[in-house]
Amino acid sequence: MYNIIKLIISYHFLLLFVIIEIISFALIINFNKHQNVVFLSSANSISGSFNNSIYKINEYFYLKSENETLLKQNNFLLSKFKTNYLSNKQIFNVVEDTVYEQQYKYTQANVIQNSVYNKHNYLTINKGKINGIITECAVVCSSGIVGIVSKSSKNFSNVVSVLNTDLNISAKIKKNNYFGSLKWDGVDYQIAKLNEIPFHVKLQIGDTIVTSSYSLIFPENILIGTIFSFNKVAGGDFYDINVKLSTDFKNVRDVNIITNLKKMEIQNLTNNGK
Amino acid sequence: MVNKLTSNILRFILVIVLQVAILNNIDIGGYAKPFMYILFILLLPFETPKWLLLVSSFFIGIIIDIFSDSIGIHAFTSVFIAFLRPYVLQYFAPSEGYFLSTPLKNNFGLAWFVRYITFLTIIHSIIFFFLEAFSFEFFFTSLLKAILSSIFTIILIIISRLLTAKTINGK
Repeated sequence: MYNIIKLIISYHFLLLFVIIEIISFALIINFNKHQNVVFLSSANSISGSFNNSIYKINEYFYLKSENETLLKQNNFLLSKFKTNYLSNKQIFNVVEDTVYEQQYKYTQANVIQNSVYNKHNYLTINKGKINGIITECAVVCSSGIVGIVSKSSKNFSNVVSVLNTDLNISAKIKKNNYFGSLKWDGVDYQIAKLNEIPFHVKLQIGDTIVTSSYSLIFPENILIGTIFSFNKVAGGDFYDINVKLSTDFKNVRDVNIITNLKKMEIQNLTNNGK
Repeated sequence: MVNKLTSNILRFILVIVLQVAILNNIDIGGYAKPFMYILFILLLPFETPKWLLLVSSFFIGIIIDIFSDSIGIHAFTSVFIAFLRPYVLQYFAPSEGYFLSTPLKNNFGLAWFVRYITFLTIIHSIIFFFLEAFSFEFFFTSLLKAILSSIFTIILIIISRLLTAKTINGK
């Protein structure tokens, strides 16, 4: 202790000088605007770079919550995309003509859900009641038939695919107009069975199968596919015909919905006749 | 002793009044500012206690600061040259040593006096202007200001010493 005091006394001049200069410097910094700004900014640049490196390390600990925030933001922004909005635009024309009365009305739609690997496959399309789509409308695409509307909600419709073992479609051989019933056997999504073609009909592999005029749902002569193979079943009356479907069900995107405007009339007539 | 104390207190007040009332308003071309108040520090007796040297320098500096609105700058600078003063005096000591108590011009000759005040005045001015600019950005401007101001100050101090030497010497 004594030594410390001795040291202080022997160096009192230097110590006092340093203390007074520190006080003066503090006064300069605190009471002069320019010096204050310069001092603070240079001090801040030192402390700033230090804080910055600390911040960079800390950032890693907040990555998770940051991610969540970004995801939320992404969801919010993505939901604003135009593609997320349903268009109520209706592209179809009903032509009023007394000589040629329109029987079929076409509506364009997109497939938003599809399956091919089940026994009972369904598709969902982005048009519904609001677009005039009702049950039992035909659904076709540019390469062939797709299915029949089974249910429709306000904006969407459910379509029974041709690849559904419950669906029978009235089909005919284009070249000779013999008609039968097309049904999928649930095995290969490219092959369906055409039944009820009698043995006396002359067939060739590659014959075109189209929809018949006896359907209330499909217009006549819409492509279904071509004969892939056929054989006579022993003890039966009808061929066993495999039809290669022209529609690639794994690749259906744009479809047309066909509404039969005269369906009610025909139905009423047939019902009354019974 | 009492005489010396009174004369120094009087000088303390006088240089402050002179600096604040007149010299603070002089600023030749924005470059040369006279700092005659350091005369008080320069002329303190040799036997002044070192702590008193620093404390009185601090007070004269801070008083000048209060009046020139530059709190701390003059105080810092004054204390700095007060700290240097003993070493400078030692360095410039005449061969026969300091046999008189006050570093006046008449006591050790004009040449010695000019050397002594020039050294401390230049240091004072340089520190002052760099503290005022508070950066080395305007290095040469600050240096030029310091040199011109010290020349101005030295001339003023010498003139004042020539005018008052007799009276103070007589005391």
